Amino acid sequence: MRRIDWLPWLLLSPTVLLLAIFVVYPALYSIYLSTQNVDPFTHRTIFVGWENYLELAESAEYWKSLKVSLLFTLYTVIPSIVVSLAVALALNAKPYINGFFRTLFLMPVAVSSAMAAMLWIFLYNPTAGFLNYVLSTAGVVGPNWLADPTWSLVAVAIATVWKELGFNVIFFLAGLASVPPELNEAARIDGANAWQRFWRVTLPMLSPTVFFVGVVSVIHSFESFGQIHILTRGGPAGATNVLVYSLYRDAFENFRSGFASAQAVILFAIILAATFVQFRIGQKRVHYA
Amino acid sequence: MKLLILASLILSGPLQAATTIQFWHSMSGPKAKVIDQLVADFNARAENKGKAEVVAQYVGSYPEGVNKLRTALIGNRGPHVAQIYDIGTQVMIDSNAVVPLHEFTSKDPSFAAEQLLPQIRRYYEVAGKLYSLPFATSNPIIYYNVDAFEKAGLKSPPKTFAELQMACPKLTDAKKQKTCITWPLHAWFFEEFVARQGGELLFPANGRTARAEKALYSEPPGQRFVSLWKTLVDKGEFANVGRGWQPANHNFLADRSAMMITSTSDVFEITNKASFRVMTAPLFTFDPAVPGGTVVGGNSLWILKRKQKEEEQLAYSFVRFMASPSVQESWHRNTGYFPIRQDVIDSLKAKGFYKKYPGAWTAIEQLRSSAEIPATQGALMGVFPQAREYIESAVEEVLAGQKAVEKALKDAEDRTNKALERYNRLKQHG
Repeated sequence: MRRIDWLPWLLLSPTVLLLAIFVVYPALYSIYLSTQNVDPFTHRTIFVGWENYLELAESAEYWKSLKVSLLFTLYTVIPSIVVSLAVALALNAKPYINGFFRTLFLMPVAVSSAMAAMLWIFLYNPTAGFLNYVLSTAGVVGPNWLADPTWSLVAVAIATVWKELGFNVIFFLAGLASVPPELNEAARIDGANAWQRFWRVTLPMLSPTVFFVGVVSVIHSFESFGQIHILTRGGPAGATNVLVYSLYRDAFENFRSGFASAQAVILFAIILAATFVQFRIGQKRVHYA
Repeated sequence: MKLLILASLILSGPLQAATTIQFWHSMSGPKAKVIDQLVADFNARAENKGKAEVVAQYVGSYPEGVNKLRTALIGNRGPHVAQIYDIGTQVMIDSNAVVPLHEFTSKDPSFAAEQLLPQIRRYYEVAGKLYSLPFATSNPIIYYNVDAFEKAGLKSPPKTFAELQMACPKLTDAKKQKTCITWPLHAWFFEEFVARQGGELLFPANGRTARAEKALYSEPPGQRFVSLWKTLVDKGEFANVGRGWQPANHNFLADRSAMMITSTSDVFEITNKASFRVMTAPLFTFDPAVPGGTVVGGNSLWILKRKQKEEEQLAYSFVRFMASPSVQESWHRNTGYFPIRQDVIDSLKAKGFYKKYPGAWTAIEQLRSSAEIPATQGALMGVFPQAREYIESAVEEVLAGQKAVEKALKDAEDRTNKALERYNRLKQHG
């Protein structure tokens, strides 16, 4: 008979226990609640089966939320990766200014998201805001950033990218530091120009970092809440009502725990699927040195 | 002897320890400091020493407060007294977790119910019973920049929609950098302007005679107001600063809008902060001949059920204290919310307070002159936060040109009706 080796289990048990209590149990409870109609105060439940999911399927607002969430991911993840990679490359090229600027770019990350959003409210004010003042000196009439449905999602995305840029820059700087300099030197001797060196050498070597930042950013973007809550409250006309905000509103303002749980289950499925797809692509494209 | 001392210590111990009364509120910033002072005053009173000690706790914004209460009640860890916003009245009544205030006041001849302003009391009275103590009461009013008005050759703010549209071109500059008027994109203003025109928000009778079944947003009062809003935006005379309360204040104080409509609770703060002269005025209406008025906004204090009846009684003694003339006067002077009591208003007026702060008088006069009809009693429904979201979305769709006024308001009605039906169905199961 084989003896069971208890030590690994013992060492894993705190993590497993905490995850079970704070992640697995609430997740399973959400699935249960999503089949119920819950009274706001007495918490009495009535079994309703698929009704909450059907209501979501028939809700034009919910489909719009889905679209808004996907757009928000598009507007934040790609600019965030491109800009932070560019910043990291610039900082890496001039190491002597690196420390100062790295701190500068990391600062927004340290500011609380509520404070950051308050700053953007002042900047975005259509007539008294600094942003439109700058535009007006150039003769441009600035848009009504937060109150115009065509601009509000872009405005929230800009604030989000600004806030999270520094975080990604740090990862890219770490990634760049691990690219062996002799590879670039060899490419240079072979006559590769800067663009070719970046495209053929640096980027492939950096692909694990790009992949990691990409996965984390996508998950982050689906979970974005604070800045939306403060800047637009999901408005105007649902233009920034991402899935998480719709869920929050139904759970904590409208007190519809069952309906909100159904949304949580769907959001979970979406994030799971997105991560799965990314890993499948990642296996083919990412080069681990 | 030693034993005797020990025994007396043990016996006197529980008598000496004051019962803690938890008080949850949603007042932040300077208003929270006023609350803390009032609580300290209560605890310092001789009759409460060693008996009751109120502990005030800020539990976040109004919706967050209701939500925290909801969660706490699962584990029986709720407070003794909770401050809940006006639109939470129906869910609180339905919560099964509160003791209606009239159960205490009917046995307490010292509670001067007749001193409460009828326009305030009527909001918190459901089926003739006072459920909670109106505490911080407010109204939307017009704040206007006196300097800007003088420059434009205008003497007083508009009293009707038509007068507003006459005045606005004079108060807006050609580049639309300075606008005529602004107010936050919030359903409260829709509700108030409907009531101002004598319109009801819900059928039947604003949900006062029976549970609300249908929303009436697309009736003429609602359509007229949203159409006015849209016209002002299209002409560049309205600064659409979006949702949230701060941007409108910021805009007005930066001298970017000549008028602003917001809560009277900001009256002292705005008057003090402005670099120009500020005065206030009552809301304009469509036709002054039609009886209407404003609905009282703000919040009220609810007493929650306890296992120990004595604790409920102590909670009531705190609530009664919060309704006392001295507290109401200090609350009014320090925040801008107006007093709930007639005697406090009379005494402040006699002392010349409103000569010194005429801006603070506007809201009181506006509320007192409101016709006593269901329209101004205010709407009651268990799904108010959702309804507000639907109204706000409708207004945004109109302002962005996505939907016509009537269509947008009808859609908001449909969504509200569905929510009402769901809520009422859930309540029937109880």
